[in-house]
Amino acid sequence: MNNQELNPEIINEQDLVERLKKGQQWAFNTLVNTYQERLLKIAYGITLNREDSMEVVQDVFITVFKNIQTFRQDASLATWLRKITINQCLNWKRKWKRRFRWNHESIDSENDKDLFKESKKNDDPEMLYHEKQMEKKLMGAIKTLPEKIRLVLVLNAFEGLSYEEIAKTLNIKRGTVSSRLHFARKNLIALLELSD
Amino acid sequence: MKKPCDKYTAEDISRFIDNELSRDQYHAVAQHLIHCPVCSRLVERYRSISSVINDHAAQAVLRIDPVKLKQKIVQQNSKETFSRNIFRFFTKNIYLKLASIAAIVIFSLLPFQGALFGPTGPSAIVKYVDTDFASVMIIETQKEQHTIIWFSET
Repeated sequence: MNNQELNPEIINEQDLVERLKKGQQWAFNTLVNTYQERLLKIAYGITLNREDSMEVVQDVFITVFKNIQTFRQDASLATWLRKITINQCLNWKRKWKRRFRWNHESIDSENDKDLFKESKKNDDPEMLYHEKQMEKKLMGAIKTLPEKIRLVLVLNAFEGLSYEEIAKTLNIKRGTVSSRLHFARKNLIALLELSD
Repeated sequence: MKKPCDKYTAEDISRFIDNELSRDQYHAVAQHLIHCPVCSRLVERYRSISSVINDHAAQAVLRIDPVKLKQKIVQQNSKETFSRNIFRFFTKNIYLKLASIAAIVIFSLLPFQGALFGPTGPSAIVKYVDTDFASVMIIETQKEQHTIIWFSET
Protein backbone atom coordinates (compact mmCIF):
# COMPACT_ATOMS: atom_id res chain seq x y z
CA MET A 1 0.00 0.00 0.00
CA ASN A 2 1.43 3.39 -0.90
CA ASN A 3 0.85 6.82 0.55
CA GLN A 4 -1.74 7.74 -2.02
CA GLU A 5 -3.91 4.86 -0.86
CA LEU A 6 -3.77 6.16 2.66
CA ASN A 7 -4.70 9.67 1.62
CA PRO A 8 -7.30 9.32 -1.10
CA GLU A 9 -8.56 12.87 -0.64
CA ILE A 10 -5.36 14.33 -2.07
CA ILE A 11 -5.93 12.64 -5.40
CA ASN A 12 -6.96 14.76 -8.31
CA GLU A 13 -10.38 13.64 -9.57
CA GLN A 14 -9.40 13.79 -13.23
CA ASP A 15 -6.38 11.63 -12.54
CA LEU A 16 -8.57 9.15 -10.68
CA VAL A 17 -11.02 8.94 -13.59
CA GLU A 18 -8.18 8.41 -16.07
CA ARG A 19 -6.78 5.60 -13.95
CA LEU A 20 -10.23 4.05 -13.59
CA LYS A 21 -10.59 4.13 -17.36
CA LYS A 22 -7.31 2.23 -17.59
CA GLY A 23 -8.77 -0.36 -15.18
CA GLN A 24 -6.23 0.11 -12.41
CA GLN A 25 -7.07 -1.76 -9.21
CA TRP A 26 -5.52 0.99 -7.10
CA ALA A 27 -7.86 3.57 -8.64
CA PHE A 28 -10.87 1.37 -7.98
CA ASN A 29 -9.86 0.92 -4.33
CA THR A 30 -9.44 4.68 -4.01
CA LEU A 31 -12.83 5.32 -5.59
CA VAL A 32 -14.55 2.92 -3.17
CA ASN A 33 -12.68 4.16 -0.12
CA THR A 34 -13.22 7.81 -0.96
CA TYR A 35 -16.91 7.77 -1.78
CA GLN A 36 -18.40 4.76 -0.02
CA GLU A 37 -19.36 6.48 3.22
CA ARG A 38 -21.18 9.34 1.49
CA LEU A 39 -23.03 7.01 -0.85
CA LEU A 40 -23.85 4.51 1.88
CA LYS A 41 -25.39 7.28 3.95
CA ILE A 42 -27.52 8.48 1.06
CA ALA A 43 -28.62 4.93 0.32
CA TYR A 44 -29.34 4.30 3.99
CA GLY A 45 -31.39 7.50 4.15
CA ILE A 46 -33.58 6.21 1.35
CA THR A 47 -33.73 2.47 2.08
CA LEU A 48 -33.44 2.76 5.90
CA ASN A 49 -31.71 -0.60 5.92
CA ARG A 50 -27.99 -1.25 6.37
CA GLU A 51 -27.66 -4.39 4.28
CA ASP A 52 -29.80 -3.07 1.47
CA SER A 53 -27.91 0.20 1.37
CA MET A 54 -24.66 -1.74 1.10
CA GLU A 55 -26.00 -3.84 -1.76
CA VAL A 56 -27.21 -0.73 -3.53
CA VAL A 57 -23.86 1.02 -3.19
CA GLN A 58 -21.96 -2.07 -4.32
CA ASP A 59 -24.13 -2.04 -7.42
CA VAL A 60 -23.34 1.65 -7.85
CA PHE A 61 -19.60 0.93 -7.90
CA ILE A 62 -20.12 -1.98 -10.27
CA THR A 63 -22.13 0.31 -12.58
CA VAL A 64 -19.42 2.97 -12.38
CA PHE A 65 -16.69 0.45 -13.11
CA LYS A 66 -18.55 -0.83 -16.15
CA ASN A 67 -19.54 2.59 -17.48
CA ILE A 68 -16.51 4.67 -16.57
CA GLN A 69 -15.55 4.90 -20.27
CA THR A 70 -18.77 6.82 -20.93
CA PHE A 71 -18.15 9.33 -18.12
CA ARG A 72 -17.26 12.61 -19.85
CA GLN A 73 -16.71 14.66 -16.68
CA ASP A 74 -19.39 17.25 -17.54
CA ALA A 75 -20.29 17.05 -13.86
CA SER A 76 -18.06 16.04 -10.97
CA LEU A 77 -17.51 12.39 -10.13
CA ALA A 78 -19.33 12.92 -6.82
CA THR A 79 -22.39 14.31 -8.61
CA TRP A 80 -22.41 11.37 -11.03
CA LEU A 81 -22.05 8.86 -8.20
CA ARG A 82 -24.79 10.59 -6.20
CA LYS A 83 -27.20 10.48 -9.13
CA ILE A 84 -26.52 6.80 -9.79
CA THR A 85 -27.01 6.04 -6.08
CA ILE A 86 -30.34 7.85 -5.95
CA ASN A 87 -31.57 6.07 -9.10
CA GLN A 88 -30.43 2.66 -7.83
CA CYS A 89 -32.16 3.30 -4.48
CA LEU A 90 -35.42 4.32 -6.11
CA ASN A 91 -35.28 1.28 -8.41
CA TRP A 92 -34.49 -0.92 -5.43
CA LYS A 93 -37.45 0.45 -3.53
CA ARG A 94 -39.84 0.01 -6.44
CA LYS A 95 -38.62 -3.56 -6.86
CA TRP A 96 -39.18 -4.41 -3.22
CA LYS A 97 -42.45 -2.55 -3.00
CA ARG A 98 -43.72 -4.93 -5.66
CA ARG A 99 -42.65 -7.81 -3.45
CA PHE A 100 -44.58 -6.44 -0.46
CA ARG A 101 -41.50 -5.99 1.64
CA TRP A 102 -40.96 -2.30 2.09
CA ASN A 103 -43.95 -1.51 4.27
CA HIS A 104 -43.51 -4.54 6.47
CA GLU A 105 -40.11 -3.75 7.89
CA SER A 106 -39.87 -2.11 11.24
CA ILE A 107 -37.04 0.20 12.08
CA ASP A 108 -36.93 -1.53 15.48
CA SER A 109 -36.38 -4.89 13.87
CA GLU A 110 -33.17 -3.79 12.29
CA ASN A 111 -29.93 -5.10 13.56
CA ASP A 112 -28.69 -1.68 14.55
CA LYS A 113 -30.12 -1.72 18.03
CA ASP A 114 -26.70 -1.12 19.54
CA LEU A 115 -25.64 1.51 17.10
CA PHE A 116 -25.63 4.33 19.58
CA LYS A 117 -23.92 2.50 22.40
CA GLU A 118 -20.48 3.60 21.32
CA SER A 119 -18.88 6.89 20.42
CA LYS A 120 -21.21 9.07 22.42
CA LYS A 121 -19.59 12.12 23.87
CA ASN A 122 -21.97 12.28 26.76
CA ASP A 123 -21.33 9.70 29.47
CA ASP A 124 -24.41 10.40 31.58
CA PRO A 125 -26.51 7.22 31.27
CA GLU A 126 -29.81 9.07 31.63
CA MET A 127 -28.82 11.57 28.97
CA LEU A 128 -27.61 8.76 26.75
CA TYR A 129 -30.91 6.97 27.19
CA HIS A 130 -32.89 10.08 26.22
CA GLU A 131 -30.70 10.73 23.22
CA LYS A 132 -31.07 7.16 22.10
CA GLN A 133 -34.83 7.32 22.52
CA MET A 134 -34.94 10.56 20.58
CA GLU A 135 -32.91 9.03 17.74
CA LYS A 136 -35.15 6.00 17.67
CA LYS A 137 -38.28 8.13 17.52
CA LEU A 138 -36.78 10.39 14.89
CA MET A 139 -35.77 7.50 12.66
CA GLY A 140 -39.22 6.01 13.10
CA ALA A 141 -40.76 9.35 12.16
CA ILE A 142 -38.48 9.69 9.13
CA LYS A 143 -39.80 6.40 7.83
CA THR A 144 -43.29 7.85 7.69
CA LEU A 145 -42.23 10.73 5.45
CA PRO A 146 -43.08 10.40 1.77
CA GLU A 147 -40.10 9.27 -0.28
CA LYS A 148 -39.78 12.51 -2.27
CA ILE A 149 -39.71 14.53 0.96
CA ARG A 150 -37.17 12.23 2.61
CA LEU A 151 -34.95 12.37 -0.43
CA VAL A 152 -34.65 16.16 -0.15
CA LEU A 153 -33.95 15.90 3.57
CA VAL A 154 -31.26 13.27 2.99
CA LEU A 155 -29.47 15.40 0.40
CA ASN A 156 -29.66 18.42 2.67
CA ALA A 157 -28.62 16.71 5.90
CA PHE A 158 -26.05 14.20 4.60
CA GLU A 159 -24.58 15.95 1.59
CA GLY A 160 -25.08 19.54 2.74
CA LEU A 161 -26.29 20.48 -0.73
CA SER A 162 -27.77 23.89 -1.43
CA TYR A 163 -31.39 24.18 -2.57
CA GLU A 164 -30.11 24.86 -6.09
CA GLU A 165 -27.99 21.70 -6.14
CA ILE A 166 -30.80 19.57 -4.72
CA ALA A 167 -33.18 21.02 -7.31
CA LYS A 168 -30.75 20.12 -10.13
CA THR A 169 -30.14 16.62 -8.79
CA LEU A 170 -33.83 15.80 -8.45
CA ASN A 171 -35.07 17.85 -11.40
CA ILE A 172 -37.40 19.95 -9.29
CA LYS A 173 -37.78 23.67 -8.61
CA ARG A 174 -35.79 25.47 -5.94
CA GLY A 175 -39.00 26.57 -4.24
CA THR A 176 -40.14 22.95 -4.11
CA VAL A 177 -36.92 22.03 -2.30
CA SER A 178 -37.59 24.75 0.26
CA SER A 179 -41.18 23.70 0.87
CA ARG A 180 -40.32 19.99 1.04
CA LEU A 181 -37.57 20.62 3.58
CA HIS A 182 -39.89 22.75 5.63
CA PHE A 183 -42.60 20.09 5.40
CA ALA A 184 -40.14 17.40 6.51
CA ARG A 185 -38.91 19.36 9.52
CA LYS A 186 -42.36 20.49 10.57
CA ASN A 187 -43.72 16.94 10.38
CA LEU A 188 -40.78 15.37 12.15
CA ILE A 189 -41.11 17.79 15.04
CA ALA A 190 -44.86 17.22 15.18
CA LEU A 191 -44.36 13.42 15.22
CA LEU A 192 -41.71 13.69 17.91
CA GLU A 193 -43.95 15.86 20.07
CA LEU A 194 -46.84 13.48 19.52
CA SER A 195 -44.81 10.53 20.76
CA ASP A 196 -43.55 12.35 23.90
CA MET B 1 -48.76 28.58 7.59
CA LYS B 2 -48.17 28.31 11.29
CA LYS B 3 -45.76 30.97 12.48
CA PRO B 4 -43.23 30.33 15.21
CA CYS B 5 -43.68 34.00 16.13
CA ASP B 6 -45.33 37.07 14.61
CA LYS B 7 -42.32 38.07 12.56
CA TYR B 8 -41.07 34.94 10.79
CA THR B 9 -42.62 31.77 9.43
CA ALA B 10 -41.31 28.28 10.13
CA GLU B 11 -40.20 28.09 6.49
CA ASP B 12 -38.15 31.28 6.97
CA ILE B 13 -36.42 29.60 9.89
CA SER B 14 -35.89 26.46 7.81
CA ARG B 15 -34.27 28.56 5.06
CA PHE B 16 -32.23 30.43 7.65
CA ILE B 17 -30.54 27.30 8.95
CA ASP B 18 -29.81 26.24 5.38
CA ASN B 19 -28.23 29.60 4.53
CA GLU B 20 -30.81 30.11 1.83
CA LEU B 21 -31.87 33.64 2.81
CA SER B 22 -30.39 36.78 1.30
CA ARG B 23 -27.64 38.40 3.31
CA ASP B 24 -29.96 41.10 4.68
CA GLN B 25 -32.69 38.61 5.57
CA TYR B 26 -30.13 36.36 7.20
CA HIS B 27 -28.81 39.13 9.44
CA ALA B 28 -32.33 40.25 10.31
CA VAL B 29 -33.28 36.71 11.39
CA ALA B 30 -30.01 36.32 13.30
CA GLN B 31 -30.77 39.55 15.21
CA HIS B 32 -34.34 38.42 15.82
CA LEU B 33 -33.16 35.11 17.31
CA ILE B 34 -31.35 36.94 20.11
CA HIS B 35 -34.69 38.18 21.46
CA CYS B 36 -37.12 35.45 20.36
CA PRO B 37 -36.99 32.23 22.38
CA VAL B 38 -39.67 30.61 20.18
CA CYS B 39 -37.67 31.00 16.98
CA SER B 40 -34.40 30.13 18.76
CA ARG B 41 -35.95 26.89 19.97
CA LEU B 42 -37.12 26.11 16.46
CA VAL B 43 -33.64 26.71 15.04
CA GLU B 44 -32.21 24.40 17.68
CA ARG B 45 -34.74 21.65 16.92
CA TYR B 46 -34.33 21.91 13.16
CA ARG B 47 -30.55 21.70 13.50
CA SER B 48 -30.77 18.75 15.83
CA ILE B 49 -32.85 16.81 13.29
CA SER B 50 -30.10 17.06 10.68
CA SER B 51 -27.41 16.30 13.22
CA VAL B 52 -29.19 13.27 14.70
CA ILE B 53 -30.02 11.62 11.39
CA ASN B 54 -26.53 12.34 10.11
CA ASP B 55 -24.93 10.67 13.13
CA HIS B 56 -27.37 7.78 12.95
CA ALA B 57 -26.62 7.11 9.28
CA ALA B 58 -22.86 7.45 9.80
CA GLN B 59 -22.95 4.74 12.44
CA ALA B 60 -25.51 2.55 10.72
CA VAL B 61 -23.69 2.05 7.45
CA LEU B 62 -21.47 -0.95 6.84
CA ARG B 63 -18.14 -0.87 5.05
CA ILE B 64 -17.42 -2.15 1.58
CA ASP B 65 -14.16 -3.96 0.96
CA PRO B 66 -12.94 -2.72 -2.45
CA VAL B 67 -10.82 -5.83 -3.05
CA LYS B 68 -13.76 -8.19 -2.50
CA LEU B 69 -15.97 -5.97 -4.62
CA LYS B 70 -13.45 -6.06 -7.45
CA GLN B 71 -13.37 -9.86 -7.22
CA LYS B 72 -17.16 -9.87 -7.49
CA ILE B 73 -16.95 -7.70 -10.62
CA VAL B 74 -14.31 -9.99 -12.14
CA GLN B 75 -16.51 -13.04 -11.44
CA GLN B 76 -19.53 -11.31 -12.94
CA ASN B 77 -17.50 -10.31 -15.97
CA SER B 78 -16.15 -13.81 -16.54
CA LYS B 79 -19.68 -15.26 -16.33
CA GLU B 80 -20.96 -12.66 -18.77
CA THR B 81 -18.02 -13.23 -21.11
CA PHE B 82 -18.58 -17.00 -21.05
CA SER B 83 -22.29 -16.61 -21.87
CA ARG B 84 -21.47 -14.07 -24.57
CA ASN B 85 -18.85 -16.37 -26.11
CA ILE B 86 -21.23 -19.34 -26.12
CA PHE B 87 -23.87 -17.19 -27.76
CA ARG B 88 -21.37 -15.88 -30.33
CA PHE B 89 -20.11 -19.40 -31.08
CA PHE B 90 -23.60 -20.58 -31.96
CA THR B 91 -24.69 -17.48 -33.81
CA LYS B 92 -21.55 -16.76 -35.83
CA ASN B 93 -21.69 -19.80 -38.14
CA ILE B 94 -24.86 -20.30 -40.22
CA TYR B 95 -24.54 -24.13 -40.16
CA LEU B 96 -24.08 -24.17 -36.40
CA LYS B 97 -27.06 -21.87 -36.08
CA LEU B 98 -29.22 -24.23 -38.20
CA ALA B 99 -27.92 -27.28 -36.33
CA SER B 100 -28.75 -25.61 -33.00
CA ILE B 101 -32.29 -24.85 -34.15
CA ALA B 102 -32.72 -28.44 -35.40
CA ALA B 103 -31.42 -29.82 -32.10
CA ILE B 104 -33.78 -27.62 -30.12
CA VAL B 105 -36.74 -28.70 -32.29
CA ILE B 106 -35.85 -32.42 -31.99
CA PHE B 107 -35.37 -32.27 -28.23
CA SER B 108 -38.54 -30.30 -27.68
CA LEU B 109 -40.57 -32.80 -29.74
CA LEU B 110 -39.17 -35.88 -28.02
CA PRO B 111 -41.84 -36.06 -25.28
CA PHE B 112 -44.58 -35.93 -27.90
CA GLN B 113 -43.18 -38.52 -30.23
CA GLY B 114 -45.92 -41.09 -29.50
CA ALA B 115 -48.70 -38.60 -30.00
CA LEU B 116 -47.16 -37.16 -33.14
CA PHE B 117 -45.91 -40.22 -34.94
CA GLY B 118 -48.10 -42.98 -33.46
CA PRO B 119 -46.90 -46.19 -31.79
CA THR B 120 -43.40 -47.17 -32.76
CA GLY B 121 -43.89 -51.01 -32.73
CA PRO B 122 -46.57 -53.77 -32.98
CA SER B 123 -48.98 -54.41 -30.14
CA ALA B 124 -48.50 -57.46 -27.96
CA ILE B 125 -50.79 -60.50 -28.29
CA VAL B 126 -51.66 -61.54 -24.77
CA LYS B 127 -53.79 -64.59 -25.62
CA TYR B 128 -54.69 -66.35 -28.85
CA VAL B 129 -57.42 -69.06 -29.22
CA ASP B 130 -58.07 -70.67 -32.61
CA THR B 131 -60.86 -73.25 -33.01
CA ASP B 132 -62.65 -74.86 -35.98
CA PHE B 133 -65.47 -72.32 -35.97
CA ALA B 134 -63.90 -69.11 -34.52
CA SER B 135 -60.71 -67.33 -33.56
CA VAL B 136 -60.22 -65.01 -30.59
CA MET B 137 -57.24 -62.79 -29.94
CA ILE B 138 -56.61 -60.62 -26.84
CA ILE B 139 -54.23 -57.83 -27.74
CA GLU B 140 -52.66 -55.14 -25.53
CA THR B 141 -51.58 -51.85 -27.12
CA GLN B 142 -47.99 -50.92 -26.62
CA LYS B 143 -48.02 -47.54 -24.88
CA GLU B 144 -51.44 -47.00 -23.30
CA GLN B 145 -51.84 -50.75 -22.56
CA HIS B 146 -55.44 -50.83 -23.78
CA THR B 147 -56.90 -54.32 -24.14
CA ILE B 148 -58.47 -55.19 -27.48
CA ILE B 149 -60.50 -58.38 -27.96
CA TRP B 150 -60.56 -59.50 -31.58
CA PHE B 151 -63.11 -62.14 -32.64
CA SER B 152 -63.56 -63.81 -36.01
CA GLU B 153 -65.89 -66.60 -37.18
CA THR B 154 -64.18 -69.06 -39.43
